[in-house]
Amino acid sequence: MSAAISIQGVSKDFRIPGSKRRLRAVDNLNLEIERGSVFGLLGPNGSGKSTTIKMALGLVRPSKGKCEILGNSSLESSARKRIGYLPEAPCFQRFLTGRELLFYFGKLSGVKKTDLEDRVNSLLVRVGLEDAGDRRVGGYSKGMLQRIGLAQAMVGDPELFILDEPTAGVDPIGAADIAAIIREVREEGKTVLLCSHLLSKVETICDRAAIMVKGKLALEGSVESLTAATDFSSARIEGLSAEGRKQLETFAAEWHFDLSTPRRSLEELFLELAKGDGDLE
Amino acid sequence: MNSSYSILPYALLLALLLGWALSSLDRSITDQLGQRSGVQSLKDVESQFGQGLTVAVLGGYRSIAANLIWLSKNQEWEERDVAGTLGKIALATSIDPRPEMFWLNGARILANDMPTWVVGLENAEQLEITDEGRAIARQYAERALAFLEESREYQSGNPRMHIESGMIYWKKLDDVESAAASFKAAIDTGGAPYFAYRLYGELLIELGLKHEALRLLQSHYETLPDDFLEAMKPVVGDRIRLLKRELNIAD
Amino acid sequence: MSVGGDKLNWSLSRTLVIASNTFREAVRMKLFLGMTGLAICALASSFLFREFNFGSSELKFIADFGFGGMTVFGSALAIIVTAQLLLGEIEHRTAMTLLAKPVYRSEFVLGKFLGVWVTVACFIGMLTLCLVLALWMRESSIRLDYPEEIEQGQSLVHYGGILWFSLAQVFRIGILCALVTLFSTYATSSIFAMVMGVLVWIVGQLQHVATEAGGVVENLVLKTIYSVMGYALPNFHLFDVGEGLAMGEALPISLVGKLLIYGVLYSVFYLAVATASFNRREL
Repeated sequence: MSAAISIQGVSKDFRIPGSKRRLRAVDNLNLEIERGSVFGLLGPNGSGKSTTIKMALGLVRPSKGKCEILGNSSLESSARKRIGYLPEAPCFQRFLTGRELLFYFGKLSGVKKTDLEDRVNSLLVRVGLEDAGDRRVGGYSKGMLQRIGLAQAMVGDPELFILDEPTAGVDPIGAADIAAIIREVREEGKTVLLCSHLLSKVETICDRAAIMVKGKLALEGSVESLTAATDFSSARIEGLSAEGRKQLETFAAEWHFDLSTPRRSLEELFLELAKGDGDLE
Repeated sequence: MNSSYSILPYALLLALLLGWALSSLDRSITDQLGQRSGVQSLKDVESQFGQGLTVAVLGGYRSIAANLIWLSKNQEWEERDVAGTLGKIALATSIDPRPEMFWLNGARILANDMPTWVVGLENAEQLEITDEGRAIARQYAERALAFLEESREYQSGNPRMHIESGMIYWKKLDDVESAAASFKAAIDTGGAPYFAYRLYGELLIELGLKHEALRLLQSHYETLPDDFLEAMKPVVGDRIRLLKRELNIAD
Repeated sequence: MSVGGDKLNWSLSRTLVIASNTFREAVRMKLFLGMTGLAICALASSFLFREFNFGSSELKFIADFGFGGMTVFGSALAIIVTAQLLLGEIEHRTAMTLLAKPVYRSEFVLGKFLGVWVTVACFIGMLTLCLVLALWMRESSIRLDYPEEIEQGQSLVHYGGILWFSLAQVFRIGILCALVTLFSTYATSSIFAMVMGVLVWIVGQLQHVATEAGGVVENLVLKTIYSVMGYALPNFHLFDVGEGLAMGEALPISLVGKLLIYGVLYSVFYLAVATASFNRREL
């Protein structure tokens, strides 16, 4: 079965207005996101995350390489049949009520008329807006906008979710609710690509993560492996055999130091990479 | 940079092609419109540049611009300003030559009002008594006729222009023959009002063509409605009987 | 179209969903309500202008104000609303969420166009209704004041002619909306699209003058410019079918048919180019 998102050798250049030079926003990116996982895409501002997401959604055309969504080219409209997207700081038509907004996006997502009403009602309950469904979106708070945004992403019952800062502006309780929804969605076998600056959240929700810096993939792996701490004074031992490890443990016990591998936070790792231009020390 | 711009040269080429392909349809529509009512052409507008023409040619408010200029000419009319009134009349008709009201009222102002302005209201009787007065009246009557002649291009199917010319020939220039020809032209154009037939009949009688007048009035009488006052059916009937008596024709 | 068995057919119903939403948004705009009020006030103000001779000339005056409102206000509305509602979606990023759905960009462009066109057509319809009412009221009072001068059964106003004129304006507005849609697909600001729309409106209204000038001037550069303008842009002047329609002039069906074909062909062309342009646009 094909990956949920497959990005192969993708680069994106933007022409700088008034100049012949080009800005390379994404540089030879290779990324595979497996189905049924929650994947965190991290990086400082200007690292190319948003451009990568837009290429995945077909909103922007790669300058080089190819991008596939659930086995279809991202440039084809059919690829978006099974995607639910929540943009960063979502904006919606202010004159529509929450309910009308979900109906609108539901129709565009191809939800059958007979199923639409039930789905809209259940989604409003799921995101905690059952009492605000008949209010105009123009009067929603930031947190409510995130919730209705999540609901519109879910209205088409997609296989793949792309969520850009889903908990931005949401209070801790709301953020926890959203995190719970993401976990539920994973349990249903769906895939989630999550962009967030709240690294503590990413750490707790995501299975795997990638960090982009200046358009390049700096690091990628399971959250667990990424957050395995390195200590400035730790030794790097390659090719250690089982016998060798046993001897080292004996040595450590004699000299009273700990050989375990303490974890560091993803935030620490992120800051290290971002400040160090993508190189891990 | 937005790569949408890259298709613009091709779009322009295709637009030119489409314009060329539709040019015959364009001409066909223009011809049909031109036949119905005056279509503004370059020669009409080029003399008027700078006189509020920009608003006028935008089409949507062309008629209103002409109407407002026409209304504003009332100021010059009240001041008995010949040149100013003439200028406004010319501007209104050049911006929008389609309303018959501009041509008819313009001609009436030329033929009836302007001679009085020239000699002065207190000397109005001079227009009929003195040679000089009669010459002024004649001059403006001929200008009115020339003005109505200009309207032919835009009012070709309108009998009222011929009727107005006929009235000027008859009442201002005492030219019964030309007046009769104008009324005949009005009737031949079609859609002439009832009084045109009656007046044409009187003119034919004045020219001594009583038989022709009788034939005209008889055929006209058959078309008249019984219940419409303006048709004056009884009056036409009386005239026919009078003519028959004069010509010794039995009823 | 796609691999793996996924197919997305082009859908008129998705287009109409977008059109319906656009219509709902457009009629809520203060601009729409303001323009409608202004046009009706302009029509009502025509009652204040009285000429010396009453009757048909006064009715023509009222008709002129109504027709002028349809063309000028209708055109202004078409330009502004199209630019604001299409570019507004891109500027406010609502288009991103929408285009992340399984929607063809051509459905989006066509839906936006249809929504605005129907809105402006409704504006013209409302103005037509007000004009017919105003003329009927004035005609009735003239009949009461001058019963001997108007033949029984004779109508001073040809109401059918007014409807034909309104229809011609709907065709004109269609072309204008399609043009501004095209500009909006590559413009980065709605002001630019509006300015281009106004320019094209003026040039299109004078297109017949440019064509004639192209045949008259001797300077080769000017001749080329005039000829390009004459061919590249539609001739909006064709849709000035004559305010005389209200006063009884007949409009042949063949002319209406020709205007419809002209309007449809130009609108379809500009929308096709708009779609091609928008397909290449990066959001």
